[in-house]
Amino acid sequence: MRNKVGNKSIAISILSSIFKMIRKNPVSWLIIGLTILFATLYSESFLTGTNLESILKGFVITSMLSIGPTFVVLMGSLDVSYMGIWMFGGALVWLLFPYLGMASIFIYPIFGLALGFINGIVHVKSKIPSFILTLSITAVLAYLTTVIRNIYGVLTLAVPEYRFLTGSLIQYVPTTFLLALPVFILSFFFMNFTKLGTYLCAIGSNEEGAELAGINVKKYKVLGFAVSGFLSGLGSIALYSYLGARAPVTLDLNEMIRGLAAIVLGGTPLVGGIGGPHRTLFGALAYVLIFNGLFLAGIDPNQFKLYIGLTLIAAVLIASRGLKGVLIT
Amino acid sequence: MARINLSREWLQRNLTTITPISAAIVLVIVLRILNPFFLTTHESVVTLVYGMSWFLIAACGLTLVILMGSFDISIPSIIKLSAMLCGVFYPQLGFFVIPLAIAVSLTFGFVNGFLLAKFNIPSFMATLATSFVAEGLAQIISGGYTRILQDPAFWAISITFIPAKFGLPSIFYWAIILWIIGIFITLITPFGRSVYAIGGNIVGARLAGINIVKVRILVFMLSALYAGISGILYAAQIQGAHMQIGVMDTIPLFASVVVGGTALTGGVGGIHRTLLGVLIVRWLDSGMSMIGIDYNIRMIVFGIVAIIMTIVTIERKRIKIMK
Repeated sequence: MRNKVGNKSIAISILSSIFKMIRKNPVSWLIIGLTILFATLYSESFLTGTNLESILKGFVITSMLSIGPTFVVLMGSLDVSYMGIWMFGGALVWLLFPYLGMASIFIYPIFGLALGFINGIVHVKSKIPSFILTLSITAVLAYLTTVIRNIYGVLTLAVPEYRFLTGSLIQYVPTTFLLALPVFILSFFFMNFTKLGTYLCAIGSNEEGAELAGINVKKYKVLGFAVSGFLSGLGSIALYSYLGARAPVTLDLNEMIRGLAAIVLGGTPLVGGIGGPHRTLFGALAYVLIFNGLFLAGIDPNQFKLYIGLTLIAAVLIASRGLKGVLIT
Repeated sequence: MARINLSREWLQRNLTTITPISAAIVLVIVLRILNPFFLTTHESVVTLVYGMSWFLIAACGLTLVILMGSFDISIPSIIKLSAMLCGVFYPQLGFFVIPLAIAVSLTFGFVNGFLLAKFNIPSFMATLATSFVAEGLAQIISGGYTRILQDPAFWAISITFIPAKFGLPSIFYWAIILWIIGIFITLITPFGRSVYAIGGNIVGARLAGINIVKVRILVFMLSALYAGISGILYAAQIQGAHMQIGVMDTIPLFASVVVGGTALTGGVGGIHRTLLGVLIVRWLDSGMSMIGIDYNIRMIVFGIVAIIMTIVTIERKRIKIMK
């Protein structure tokens, strides 16, 4: 008897926590709505194992691009260097593979951490707007990747030994998803179990106030950029499978936009102060669902960019609620 | 002792003016040594003018936005869309494509400004989104194909030589006229002063009674107008339009603005400085390609130059918080 009541209360508490989560993250309505819509519209193709696997793959890619920069957006800055880390890190892996063997993939997090520190220090010391700084650095790294490719005279910087990453060890569960799990856990750890998450939120909502409250703002800003670079670097290991064990050699803005769109859709406003990696995961799922539905509808590939732009405008419009009275440049 | 201090102070105050002028002089000397025909033959001047004219027009628009403390990523995409509109619809519409392209560009500028001023969306995010819409529209109307303009009457907008013998192409005069209009707008009109005021201190500008929403929307419309005109003239210059126009031109454009001495934080600099910045960037570009340096390495150099010049131009003492 007592046992039954216990089960009931557990079920109620789980349900209430789910409701709480839905209420706190309005984007989950979008996810539920889109799932029901597409499941009824494309009843034969949407809820099949293959399609769900491709959604999962897209979700991993989008979340890996966006989970690191979320920490920087939390404090109101912006970090788009994840594309640079992905591309130039891939070139480094290709260059180091003959010397280090299979361990060369670990150059990714090291490079990400180093670049994150450089970004943070340059941003804090010289006070360049972080978006411009990281965009310029990304362009430099992207063209460096192309230069390396041209010097060696190869078409792609592929390392076939890592091709096992593209498959799936368990049916319908891509290997990249297993690789992404530690990144998720690490990001939740940084957000919820260290001072960093709280302090970044404080910096985002009121930098002067945070400084007056005794937070070493400069130190935590650099740390925020470093965490962003490190997580982007770790995520790039999962991304490495995306193009078949290689990194892209030309800068594709469509890919760059994924990360930003997922952050904004998830409900971390660009002025910072609120949100976190959990919201970004919702945003990534919503973004992938939207484009999965568009692909199932058979859109003209020429119109693809138009839909990306409209999604982004809708996302920033949704995310800008409650920012009245704040002056943004 | 006092004289040394004075000169050092003067140097610090005028660093953003001295740097581009000395860089330009050094560049000209180096390029003359590398290539004795640089700026001496008629052909080399015309080549330089073709390279810099459309670039100067677009950079003037970007300078206006940066003066206000915002940023506009959508300029290369609007150039592409405007050129593509000319390429696709000229056979049907004739010269009416010019008002069409300008109207479309102005619409994009209005949307940019509206998203920033009314919905408080950071300008780089708003313009990033609209740039995708513009690229998507260009892709849809052209189907991704290169369009060739075959009517010499349309080419004449850009490539009429004035005077006919040993003159410069008309696109150069268009660029200089638009540059002078830009200087006039920013330095003489009340609207220009309010742009500087918003860039210097937005809260103060609002308290001083400036209609911030109106000025911001107008500045983004002007910037898009410059981009649209640049696209039309560029389409007439290359006698067609293709999907590679303006791909990753954001970094060189931005580099030319900050090299001229306009600070990214707004309120400092001006359109009159941008001509020198554009000249330096184009000279650097042609100089490096003369030695045979790869396009990718040139873009790396522009990225590094952009970062360094941003650091030089920003007035760090004035800024407390930088996001």
